[in-house]
Amino acid sequence: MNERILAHVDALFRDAPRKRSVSEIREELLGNMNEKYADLLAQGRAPDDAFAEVVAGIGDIQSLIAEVGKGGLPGSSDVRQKALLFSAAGGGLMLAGALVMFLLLALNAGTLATILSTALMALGVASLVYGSGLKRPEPYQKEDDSFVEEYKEKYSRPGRNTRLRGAATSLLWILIVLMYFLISFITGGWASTWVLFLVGVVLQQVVNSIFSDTNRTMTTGMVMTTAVIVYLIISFGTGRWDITWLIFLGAVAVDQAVRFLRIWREKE
Amino acid sequence: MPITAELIRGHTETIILAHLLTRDSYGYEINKSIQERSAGRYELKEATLYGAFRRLEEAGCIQSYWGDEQTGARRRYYRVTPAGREAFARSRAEWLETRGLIDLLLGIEGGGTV
Repeated sequence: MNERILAHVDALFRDAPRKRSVSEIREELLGNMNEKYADLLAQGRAPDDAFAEVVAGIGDIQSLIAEVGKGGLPGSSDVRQKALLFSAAGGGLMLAGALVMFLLLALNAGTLATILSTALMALGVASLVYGSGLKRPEPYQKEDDSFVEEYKEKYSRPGRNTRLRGAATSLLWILIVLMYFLISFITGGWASTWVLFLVGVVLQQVVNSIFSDTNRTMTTGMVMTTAVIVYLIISFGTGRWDITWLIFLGAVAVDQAVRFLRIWREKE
Repeated sequence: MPITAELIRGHTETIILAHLLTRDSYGYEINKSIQERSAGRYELKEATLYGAFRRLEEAGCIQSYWGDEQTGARRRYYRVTPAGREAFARSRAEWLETRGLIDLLLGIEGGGTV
């Protein structure tokens, strides 16, 4: 195995997708190049000369790699790295937001803590969402006009609904965090404001149901929305916050019952 | 002669099949044989060769398998399938017809006989 040839081929495959079919091409290319190189040396060619000729004989390997690696899940490695960077930055920003909040709270700077930490966390969420969006595989490109290829292309493409749902989800959680801090600092009711996150989970269901194509998540969303409304009305009306949360347990039970009913009906 | 190369390129798969019909073989050996048979006037780029292998394999004309070499790197061998034999016979007949026709049109002696 010639080291120069190995280094050259490694450079050619640096950004190639990590797939078996691609690594097989690499091994095949390495073997054939080395054998050709040995033949040229045996014919009395100088090593530099032989190396140059072997390299010149490779041709357009990038198009071949792209063709063979097509349809693979991970994108090119620099996109993966970028996605990783944004995810890491997102996590870091959210952590920084939490730290800033505790620090400033300790210094009794409530308003500043709210504004700064919320801004940091919002940036963090945005970065996380952007990073996860990058990781999504490229939609499959159909090879010809046959129906099989059309099917593959259609089902590999992330739907408009999926992307809208992602945007709505990030917006929702930024607003929840923002409201949590604002309401908590203004009212000082830290003991109960955490309920906002429960509301967030429920609203998430609603978001899912709006941007969903299946009936299942649709009913879940409707049941949960109804539960929230009923919960708020009854709680404010009666003031019995200590037991009204049971409504959510009831909602989960109703949702499950509806699901079983649907499965049972489909079986009939 | 780039025009000749362009013309030959369209027959890369058939040329590879012709070689594989004599025996199972691998990339470098096939390319070396092409070079020798053409007296050094034609040689395939590695990328062209593997691209053709891939298309032939997807079409079911050839199958690949890794050899178990005792020394050095293992080789990827190719064998021709019954479908590959049929495809070769078809391409060969097409070429003979095309050649005969072009010979006729260009007024070349013996044109038109297959």
